[in-house]
Amino acid sequence: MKIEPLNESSLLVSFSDEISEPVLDLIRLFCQQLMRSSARAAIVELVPSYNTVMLVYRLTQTDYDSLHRELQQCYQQAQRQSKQLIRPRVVELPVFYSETTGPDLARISQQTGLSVQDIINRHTQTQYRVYAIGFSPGYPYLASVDSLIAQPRLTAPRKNVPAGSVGIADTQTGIYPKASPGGWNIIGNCPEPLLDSQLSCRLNVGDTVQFVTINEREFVALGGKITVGFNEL
Amino acid sequence: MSFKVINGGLLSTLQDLGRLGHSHTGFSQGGSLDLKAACWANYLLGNSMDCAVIEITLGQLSLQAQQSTVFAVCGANMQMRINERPLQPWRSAVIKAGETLSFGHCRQGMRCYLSVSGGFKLPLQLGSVATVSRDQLGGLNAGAKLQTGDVLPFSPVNINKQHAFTQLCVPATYYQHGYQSTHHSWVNLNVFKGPQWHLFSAKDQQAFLQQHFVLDQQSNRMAAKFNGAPLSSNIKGIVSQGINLGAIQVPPNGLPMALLNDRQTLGGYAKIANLTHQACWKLAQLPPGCHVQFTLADLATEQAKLRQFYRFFGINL
Repeated sequence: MKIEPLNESSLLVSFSDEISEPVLDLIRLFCQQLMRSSARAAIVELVPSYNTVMLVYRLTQTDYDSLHRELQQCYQQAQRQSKQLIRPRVVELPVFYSETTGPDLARISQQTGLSVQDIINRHTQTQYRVYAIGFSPGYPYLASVDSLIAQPRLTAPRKNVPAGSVGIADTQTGIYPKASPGGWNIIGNCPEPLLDSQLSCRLNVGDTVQFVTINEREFVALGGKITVGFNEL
Repeated sequence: MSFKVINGGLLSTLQDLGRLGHSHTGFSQGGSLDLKAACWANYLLGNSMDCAVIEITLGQLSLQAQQSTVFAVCGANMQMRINERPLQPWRSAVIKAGETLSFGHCRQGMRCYLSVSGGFKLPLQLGSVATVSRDQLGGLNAGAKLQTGDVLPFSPVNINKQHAFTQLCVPATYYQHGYQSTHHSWVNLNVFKGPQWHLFSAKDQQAFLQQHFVLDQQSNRMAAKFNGAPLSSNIKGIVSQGINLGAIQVPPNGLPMALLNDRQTLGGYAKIANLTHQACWKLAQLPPGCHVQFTLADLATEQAKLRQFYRFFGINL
């Protein structure tokens, strides 16, 4: 573990060069420890992402050296806890995989030689971990996608990807919480919002996500909307 | 009690200390780019520092007071007038019901901040009114800038009672440097080494600190872009990590860009340096075309300055 200052009131904690579930679990435990510690009141932002945590602190309430000591203690506690097996929370998310909600399914099928059904099966058979949330509010970065259906980002991003779109970028998969431009390969749509009306986020870094296939009727009943022809946008 | 927007100007947005504590779910910080000027504007009225202010970029804003109140403006000089009476920035003043406060062109600097006694009364989203267009959040309407016809409510104020705050001014020593920049200016910006500093070659590190960069026209509240001789390093992307205020990242084109208040929360470009807070505020007042040079600063010295700033204004940061 390495701690380094970024500016007067922020620092970066780097855990490992690799990206792995054990590192993610360690980060999750570290953040939990920190939020239970006396340093909590001095923390403004705590942003975990893959193998780092960025932290912004209140300069009027603490200083770099005291915080540094506290972070090292939290790290040691997290390391001790990580020896026990902890099962992360599993969040099930329904997805309607189809040509209309997933305009890149056909192309991935052509490129990989897998049937559309096989691609869907491979996408739902994997349990994913949330490694980071960002890019836009509530956007989860999930990994790792079955290497047979991993696909590079589109060379030209679409101007408008509908909210709920489920995409693949290399070995990552994710969900667009809101309609936005985007370059991920879209294979389906999740009708359940990732941000509630109070803007709180349904997923946390470290959670496990299980996608569940639903049909068009279920999709519509859950509030899903089909955007006709968005592939051309 | 309100101001009615007669003309929203080029880019006028409601801001405050920012939407803090939500980076981990992807919400941008937002908030006043030049926090120093924004704080002085609230300070002159005896307001709490979390009161919302209007950040006026390059002028042209025009507001009609529906009731009398006390206001203050700090930051770049934009040829301000109440009806036809000219007015200087870095002062508080009274505006009477029916009078119009208008901002002209901005010849030096980029932004000024308008506060009103007791603050603007607006609904908070995730604890802040900060207008962030990329997140469609804050301001009066889902992250939109001020537009003709908008109504900005404020608290009632007894001007006699508030007399102590009606004609205050900030001593010139606090603002004489940093608010006169034009596109010809040469400015120094203090930085710390970034988390990927060591990934850049010695030649690139030297080039970053020794050359003059020119602030690009495409700069905005998300990022300030710099033109110059591109850094040569062939640094591939890094694993995405949280992006701090003032992080200077180097995308594949080799031209550094400094990430400001409306930045996205995560990013995968290597960061060669990080601006100090004061340098971020200074940068907020630099017009495109301005020449800048980055200079390494001492952490403890800058921490002491920032801590003093927060304590002076009573900001819990």
